[in-house]
Amino acid sequence: MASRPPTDFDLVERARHGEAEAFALLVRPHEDIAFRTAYLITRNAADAEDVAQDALVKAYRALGRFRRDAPFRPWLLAIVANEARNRRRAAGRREGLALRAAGDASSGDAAPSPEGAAVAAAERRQLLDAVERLPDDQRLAVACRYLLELSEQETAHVLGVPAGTVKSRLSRALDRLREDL
Amino acid sequence: MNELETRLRTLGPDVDYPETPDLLAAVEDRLAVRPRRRRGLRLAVALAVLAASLGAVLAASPGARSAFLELFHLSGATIARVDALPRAEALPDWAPGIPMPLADAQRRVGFRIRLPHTTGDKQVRNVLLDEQGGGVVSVVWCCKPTLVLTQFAGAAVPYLQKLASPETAIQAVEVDGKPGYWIADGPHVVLFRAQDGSFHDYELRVAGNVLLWVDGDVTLRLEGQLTRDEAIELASAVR
Repeated sequence: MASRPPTDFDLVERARHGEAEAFALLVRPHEDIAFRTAYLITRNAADAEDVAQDALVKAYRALGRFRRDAPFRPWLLAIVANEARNRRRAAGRREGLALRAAGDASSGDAAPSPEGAAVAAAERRQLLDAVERLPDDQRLAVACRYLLELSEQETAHVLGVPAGTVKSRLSRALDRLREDL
Repeated sequence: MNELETRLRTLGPDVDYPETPDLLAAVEDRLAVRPRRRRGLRLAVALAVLAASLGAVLAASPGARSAFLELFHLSGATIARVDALPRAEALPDWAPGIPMPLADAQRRVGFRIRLPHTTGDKQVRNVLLDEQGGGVVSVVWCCKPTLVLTQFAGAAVPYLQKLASPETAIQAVEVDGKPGYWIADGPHVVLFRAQDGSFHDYELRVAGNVLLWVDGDVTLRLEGQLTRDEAIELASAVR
């Protein structure tokens, strides 16, 4: 008889009882998104690394407060985002977002002509620049919802606001982007 | 989803993020098991520490008999029989320390880690190290019944404090010619000493049986759902 895979809560319980492997199983699938969330808020790679590490330690120590019916990812990302916001208030220089070089790009099904590729890259750069010009609260909502592809509920968790606020920020952001473009 | 939202979503994978560092490896040392503080235990801890200091004098005093019925000493461990155990949760799979590979734990302690030749078909599930004093190593074997072997270099002041209920049997035994105690048939509470020398309430209500013994400069504690003879047989295979 096949046994069911462990739930997030099963792993949390095992981690709480000192099983290092269970905590690694919980966290490993979310390391990228945790770091990127921290980076999108702090805009500094070194700060994002410190923030993500501190958040993991805080999450480990707070496992006792994890709710049985809750998914782990938004819970972890909320801790990451909270740490990142605290760090960002004190931080100085912010790095701008860049797109990867065309050769590394993961999107695009067929090989475009050189001219077509150049136009597409310019449009993508233009769109990212427009996102960067959004006010902070709208920019973060767009970053979480579209760039990180979080659900609306997860975005609300990460930003520490109600889901309705996420909707209205996204709506204003999209209007602004259309005007800007 | 409208066209702008689609364009934003396809932008996501092309954002040039810095490479994600190995976060788990970086925080491994900071992921220690956190002690839980419990008000109800403080008095018992204070009394236990006092009893350990005053030893037989306090145990023999009529005033203390209401709290302490007997005291047993074994190198780095003290067992106090009390008339009422503090309230503590039963956490049968719990052991203190930071999880790490056995080889890493061995490099970080000042004594040779003892292991049994055989634990049947059980696999080592976890090795935990609490780096106070000369280091305290707990090896946990999977699965039910879980076995936990804890060991540390004996200290002048006991590291391990046990509070046993009146119905708990505490019996002097020998493990391959080495002195020990068999603690069974009743719940007892284990307290571990913190780095600052105070007893942390790393409390653990143990429903299983425990064998404590001394091998050279190392005090060992084997916990699990074992009979006395099974425990002594397994302990005799620990080298």
